[in-house]
Amino acid sequence: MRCYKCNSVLSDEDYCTKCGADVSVYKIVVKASNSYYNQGLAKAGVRDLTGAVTALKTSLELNRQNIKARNLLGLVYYEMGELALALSEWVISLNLKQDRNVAEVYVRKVKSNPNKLELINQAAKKYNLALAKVKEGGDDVALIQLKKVVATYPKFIRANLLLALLYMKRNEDERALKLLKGVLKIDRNNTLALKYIDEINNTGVHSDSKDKEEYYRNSKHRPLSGNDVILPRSSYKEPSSGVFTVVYILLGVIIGAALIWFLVVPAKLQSSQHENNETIKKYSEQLSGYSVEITTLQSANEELQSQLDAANEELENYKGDTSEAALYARLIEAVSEYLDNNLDAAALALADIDVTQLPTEISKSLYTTLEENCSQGAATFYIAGVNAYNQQNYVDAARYLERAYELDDTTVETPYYLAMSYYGLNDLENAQKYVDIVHERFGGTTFAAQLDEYINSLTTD
Amino acid sequence: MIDFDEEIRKFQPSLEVDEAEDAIYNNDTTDVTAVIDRIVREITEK
Repeated sequence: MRCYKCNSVLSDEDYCTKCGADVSVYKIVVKASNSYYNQGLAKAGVRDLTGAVTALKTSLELNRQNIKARNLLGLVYYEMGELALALSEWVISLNLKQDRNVAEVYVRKVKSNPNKLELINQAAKKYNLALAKVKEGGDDVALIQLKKVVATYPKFIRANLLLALLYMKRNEDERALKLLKGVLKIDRNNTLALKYIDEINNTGVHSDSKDKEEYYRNSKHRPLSGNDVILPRSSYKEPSSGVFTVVYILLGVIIGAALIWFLVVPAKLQSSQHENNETIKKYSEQLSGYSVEITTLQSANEELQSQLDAANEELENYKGDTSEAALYARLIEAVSEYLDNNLDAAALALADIDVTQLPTEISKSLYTTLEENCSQGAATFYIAGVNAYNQQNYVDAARYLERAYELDDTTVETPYYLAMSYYGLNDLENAQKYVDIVHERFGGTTFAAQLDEYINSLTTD
Repeated sequence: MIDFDEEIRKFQPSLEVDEAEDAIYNNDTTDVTAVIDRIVREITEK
């Protein structure tokens, strides 16, 4: 301890041995200052920063030359986020004691990190702005500012307390409590923080502001407001090992394959089946078309065949003996024989003509005239028939004899030779017809007996 | 029950670094030792 007057070291005496000044009271005051410093130091040691500040301030009020108390006060201010106050104490400390002063270390460390110094200074400025806004009634703006301050500089106790108070005003007690608990971690016996927590747990707060609204603090039973955000509990858990990763990958592959099998493959199959059906339908339509075409062609073919048959038939008419040309030829032959006065030949030629087949009336008239003039009776045809029979020309024989029988049926020879001619042609029906005529009309004649013999010979053979 | 406005009035602006110089210069508070010194001087002069 040094004399307050001459700064010499004091002894145990109540006066200064050098200048003689009375130091009895001075010694008591300095000891009291030191005692408060000790208290402040003890409180700072257990993070009772508020109590430490009180004790250290008292210590300095008793003895402002107490460098240790001042340096510690600056340190406590720094811990509470009051950098400017801390620097002030340390600078004053350095001003009082330049050499071997720990305040010099503190100041140097703070100045060595200008970024952090600027950040803390900006936090203080924002806090002041927010406080001004709160006092003007702009709570919302202040709240945003204070949130930023607390986020950038969490040790700033004053900002934390003001933000907590704003939360309490908005009935967001949980948030306020969280901030207040943070404050108590820095300053264990912070009076305001304890007071606010006590208010939250027990009673409410009321405002004298314009709306006179009351704010109740029972936050645990407070109903949810529209501004509350409910965060769902996340069910996601990190896999504990790589085995699960492999298992999950395999499961993913299996699920993917199953999806392809059950969703993509059926769609592909359906598409293919649809294409096949379309192809079959197309071919069926083509087949139907071909069938219709074949039917049409068949009907056309039949029609053409019928036309061809008709044409052939017509051609045959022209080619055969019954054709017009043949009839005219026979008629011309008969006319020629008649003009040569060969009446029998003319009559035989006329016998070959079917008068009904003659196409014109003139030709029919000519045929009739010739027949009337040429026909000498049945004898001509009978002779021609017998000659033909004798020459075994049974066809002409039957034709001439039929003509002769039409003209004269009173003789037995004509039906006899007719029957024989038809036997020669193996036409038994016509043969039997003339056999019957012979038996009925000329029975008992030699011709009838000859016929019977002939017939018997045929039966015997 | 807390009176919000009353509580707000208790909050004081934080000292900024720019203002620290003024705070240091204005730190001329008289401590007890100074009071005692002045008292002793007055007694001695009488």
